[in-house]
Amino acid sequence: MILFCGLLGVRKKVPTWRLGNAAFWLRAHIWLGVLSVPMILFHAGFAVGGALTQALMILLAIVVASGIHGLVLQQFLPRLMTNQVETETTYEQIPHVLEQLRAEAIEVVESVCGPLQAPPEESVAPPDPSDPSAPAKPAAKSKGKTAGPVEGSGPLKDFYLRTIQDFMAADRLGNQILATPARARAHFAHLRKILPPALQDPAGRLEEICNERLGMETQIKLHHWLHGWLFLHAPLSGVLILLTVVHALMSFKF
Amino acid sequence: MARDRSTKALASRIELDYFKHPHPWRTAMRNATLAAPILAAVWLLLAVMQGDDIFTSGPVATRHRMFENDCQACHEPWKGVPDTKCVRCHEAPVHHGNQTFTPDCAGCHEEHKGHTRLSRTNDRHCVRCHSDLKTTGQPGGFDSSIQSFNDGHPEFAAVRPGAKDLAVVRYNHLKHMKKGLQGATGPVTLACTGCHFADEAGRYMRPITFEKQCKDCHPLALGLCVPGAVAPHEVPAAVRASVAQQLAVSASQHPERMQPAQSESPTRLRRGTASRPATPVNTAEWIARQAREVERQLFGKTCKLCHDLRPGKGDLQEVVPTKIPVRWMQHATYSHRAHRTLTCSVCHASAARSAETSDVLLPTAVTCLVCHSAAGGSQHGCTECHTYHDKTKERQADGPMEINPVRLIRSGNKREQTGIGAGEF
Repeated sequence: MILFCGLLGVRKKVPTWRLGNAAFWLRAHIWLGVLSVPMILFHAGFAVGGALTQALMILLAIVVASGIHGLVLQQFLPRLMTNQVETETTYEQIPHVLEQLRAEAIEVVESVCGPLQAPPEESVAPPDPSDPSAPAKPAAKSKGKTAGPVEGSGPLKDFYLRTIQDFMAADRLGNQILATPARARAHFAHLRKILPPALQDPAGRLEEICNERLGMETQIKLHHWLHGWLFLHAPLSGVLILLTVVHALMSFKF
Repeated sequence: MARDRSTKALASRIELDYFKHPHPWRTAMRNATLAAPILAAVWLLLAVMQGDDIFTSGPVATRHRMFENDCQACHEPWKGVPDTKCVRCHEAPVHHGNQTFTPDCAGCHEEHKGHTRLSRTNDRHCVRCHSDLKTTGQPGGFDSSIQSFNDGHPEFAAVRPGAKDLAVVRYNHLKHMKKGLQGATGPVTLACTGCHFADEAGRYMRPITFEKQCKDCHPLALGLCVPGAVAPHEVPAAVRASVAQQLAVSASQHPERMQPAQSESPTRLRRGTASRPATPVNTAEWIARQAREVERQLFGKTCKLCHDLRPGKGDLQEVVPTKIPVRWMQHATYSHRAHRTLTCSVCHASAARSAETSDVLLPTAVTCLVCHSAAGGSQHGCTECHTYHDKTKERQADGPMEINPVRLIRSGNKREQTGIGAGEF
């Protein structure tokens, strides 16, 4: 039963196997995993035994508890993510998409404010091409029209340089000014008040970009909650399977 | 100009081959999943190298702790725990000759359950057969559907309706437990423990003996012919010999006793005797006459107070064997010591009003069930009273184990060599 539960990971690695779909395997994994608890308790006679069996009991408890924790999170976090993250993307591509958003923001600002000063990080060492999280070269370059600043675009440029630039470049939003939706709305509302009508649209586009950045951050947090328990569940399941096999062999031997 | 948020535009932001690149999250997950079992394997290896008995399923019973670290003392690799390993030290006489199923030793005596008594087996092992008892050959006369002590267990045979104490002896508990009974040195009130003493193990009451329990109040006095002398509590022939010897000694040491005026009291004469017996002419005749008188008194009255006599060889009577049960309930064990906090009358309530020897004064199963049941709270398993193996056939001294010159004993997680040895198998 434990071995079958462990085969879910193998089944996921080879999705082309015609051995039932992933949902069936997941259901079997969950039900057999839960059923294993009383069966193992009865098998052990409600005693923990020696060092190996004590370790097995502790591992089983952690694996089952983390699995149930993950199962509960899976019930509502995906819906929460759908509601809170309008432009959900592939988790692994978030750094890539963020870089595109940053380039888009620069393009919007330069299209009305003229050329911006190069950000400090762009003068540092070139990005590693093997790192997918590193900014793509084309995206890092501004594609904006740099004909010249529109009259009254100074506040927009200042707001970008003081607030949006760091907000878009930060790995973790933390205490960024635009880190909360309410504060972001308030700052952009104030910005639009002081901008001429011709710059309302660029300001709106910047706000959309910032909101999308904020959504990405929310997706990262929810993703960590949704899958973080696997860092406990999967490795300890491996240990559980290994020690179970050893326990079974030694039981047969003696 | 509004931003293009179409599905196509959003999808175009994704690299099509993103899944081919390693991602820190997936890499970390893979590394952790590989590293954890490797670390566990290292832990196993280290534990085995240190000799730690991590594979044990629990501590062994106290009696087996001396070879707790030597798995193969009991286990045979890939064969489990064969009975041959157990019977090297333990005799395991067959339960009943006509039983149809004999379990393995380890089937009933479950080891690695901690420091418990292995002989205290679970009821399910007994009920496996006794709930639907089948026998080979003739039935053994046991109830065949016993589930537990309070479910299907028969009434004790000794106290079933119609059961009697078949001992051939007269004893009246009611009379002996009266207050102010005349004793050897004055009025006494006997208690149960005045006559009944447990054996050294505190399990069963020792048999009542004349010498210990009766003699003080019921001496077998020879009479005034030998003042203070008593006959032994033995077979009549021995009594006769003892009486003759004591009369001879008395005659030789106290010749004045042979004088009829001093030696015989008128009150000792039998009623209806026409005249006093003739004065003895010599010592032998005196001894013979006194012996007849003493025997008439002893065998005719004193002995019959408790015993039945029947004609024996020659002119001597013989005592009918008393056949007092030394131990009731041969198929069960009992410990008076374990129950010493109870007053005797709790279980032997009928003793105080019993006037007949045939009364069985043992408690019924209902009395035991008051405490020995789930409601009563005391232990109520089969092995509380019953033993599976016939202990009388147990091995005597001279077992198979030897002492090694070097012994490995546990000391924390380390092993030390000492000069004292453990069992060699």
